Amino acid sequence: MIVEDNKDLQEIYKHSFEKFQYEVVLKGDGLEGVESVAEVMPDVILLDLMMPGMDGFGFLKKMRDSGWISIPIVVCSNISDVETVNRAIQAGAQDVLLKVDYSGKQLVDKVSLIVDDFYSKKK
Amino acid sequence: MDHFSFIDTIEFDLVGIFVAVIGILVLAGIVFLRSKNSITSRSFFFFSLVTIFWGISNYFLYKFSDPQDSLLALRFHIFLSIWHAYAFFQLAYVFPYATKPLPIWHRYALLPLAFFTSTLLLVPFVFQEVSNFIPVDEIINPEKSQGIILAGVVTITFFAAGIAVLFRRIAQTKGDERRQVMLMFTGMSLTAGLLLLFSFILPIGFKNFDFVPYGALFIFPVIVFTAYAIYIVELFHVKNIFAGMFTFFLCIVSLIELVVADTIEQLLLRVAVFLLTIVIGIQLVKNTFEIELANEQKSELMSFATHEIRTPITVMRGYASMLLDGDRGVINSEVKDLLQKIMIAGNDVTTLLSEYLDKSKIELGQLEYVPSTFDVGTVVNEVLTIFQIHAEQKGIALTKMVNTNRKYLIHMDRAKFKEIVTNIIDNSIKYTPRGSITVTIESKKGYILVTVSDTGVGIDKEVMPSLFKEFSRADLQKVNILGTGLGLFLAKRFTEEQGGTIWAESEGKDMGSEFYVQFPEVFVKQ
Repeated sequence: MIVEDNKDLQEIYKHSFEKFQYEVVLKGDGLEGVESVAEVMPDVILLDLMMPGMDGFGFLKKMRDSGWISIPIVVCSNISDVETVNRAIQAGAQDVLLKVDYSGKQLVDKVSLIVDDFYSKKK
Repeated sequence: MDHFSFIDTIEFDLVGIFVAVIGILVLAGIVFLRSKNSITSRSFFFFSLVTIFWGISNYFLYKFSDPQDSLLALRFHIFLSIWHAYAFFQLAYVFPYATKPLPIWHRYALLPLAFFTSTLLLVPFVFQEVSNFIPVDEIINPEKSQGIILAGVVTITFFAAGIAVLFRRIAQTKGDERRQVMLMFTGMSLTAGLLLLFSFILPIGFKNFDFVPYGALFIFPVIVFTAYAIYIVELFHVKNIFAGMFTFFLCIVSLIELVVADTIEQLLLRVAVFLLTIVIGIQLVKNTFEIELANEQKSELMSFATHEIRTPITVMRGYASMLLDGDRGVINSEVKDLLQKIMIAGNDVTTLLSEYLDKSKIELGQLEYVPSTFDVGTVVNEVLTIFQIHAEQKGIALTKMVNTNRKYLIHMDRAKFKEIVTNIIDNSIKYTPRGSITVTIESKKGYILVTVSDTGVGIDKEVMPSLFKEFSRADLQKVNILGTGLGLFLAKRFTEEQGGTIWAESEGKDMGSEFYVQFPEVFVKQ
């Protein structure tokens, strides 16, 4: 599941992941994302931080409060402040990626590494 | 002059300890709270806490008249002395780096040694033999026992090892880092001199014990100098803190003067001075805080602007990458060439932005590191993927030599490491008009060494000393270079602040160059 408000990035991410046989569900903000987690049951959530309505931090908090800790959340943002990164990790993000650093296959590879790591630790 | 009589009743040694304890606590607290993740801040906090307890026990050592109480204070004092010397060694070892792993023998030899010796001295086992305490002018005069020798040897060894580490670091470091180490060393020398004079020469040579209880005050210089050295890169904050403390001190002094005024004229004059001090002091503090606020706003604006610029670049690169990968049909070589140029322009803007953001963070004293353990090979791969297009465009080969069957683990800020590698490779690509660039990763003598060697324009001997300086550019006329001139400066800064080493070698002009970065290897138990 990709929670991202930028339509262009939605298209790029959807295309990148579908190319590598991932099923992608797009959500435009945190609230939409939270409301559909139970229905979609994604293997991983790619989350933007700055979004209208419920932002990434609101989403992380809501997920944690609702007990959704079994799904890895990878924050994908263009904010690189140490403070923001720490805050996201403390709020329950599995990892924080700088959007501008990853495109296409690189992003897919990185996310699948994080997901493999998450599920292997769980075992 | 009746009002001066109260001075006779003040216990100056107690006031001295009180001032030292508060001062150390404030400085240690500020340093710790400002950068909790830094190993230097943590070690400094530990050293400061032990200093406080050591100072207090030093004071009580000479205040108890009962031999049993003194014995207890002595045991505790010597217990703390060992930990004090140990804390000093640890601080000296990690200073001034934000991340620097302590060696393995630290955990398995030094820590148990400090623990074992100090505990042994605390229990009656060793000190039972110290039977007689003879109070001499409030000073206890313990009979020497073998336990004291053991404590002395361990304490002096830790202390000497700390000094040796500092000496070595002074010899090895340069620039800001050397200034930081020199500052700590100056503080240490002052403290050593004061302790030597007042706690050894005067009591032993001249039987003057008056200054012995002030022990904690004598350690104050090393604390102040070290705290200042830790924040040498964050002068704005230090200025604010000192402005606040200085104003507070001035107000207290003028208030005391006011209270002890003798005549009405004196009182009026001192009221005026007091009011003036308050007004000017408030203005001073207000100004410095306004500067800090403006800096915070500047930093927020910079972060926001960076975010806003990065997003369209991500989109631009995302679409260009889709087209390049042939996801929208086969493209001809001319279109591929143009798309690669778009990608490169995007990469250049991204690098420039990161460099400006880092520079502004350094200026504002807001540079922080988030250390983690990671594989160098993975990060180098990520960087090489980005730069393959640059190399292809220039017609140079960008290759990697690494054993892919193993991991090369180091512990530091991953994003900053990526920037270090990015800046070095970016630099090599810029200065290599033809030929090749090879990146090698090796594990050597407990370090992970990354080498970037190119067949480029090389580095002149005259340029070499200023290579890693800000806005330093080699041979500007010969190569048309776009950039901030900050890349290598930042790479050096990030490397050295996290306990690594970076250097360059070149046979000279047109002979190519090699850049080396190394960090201590992390060994994880399988």
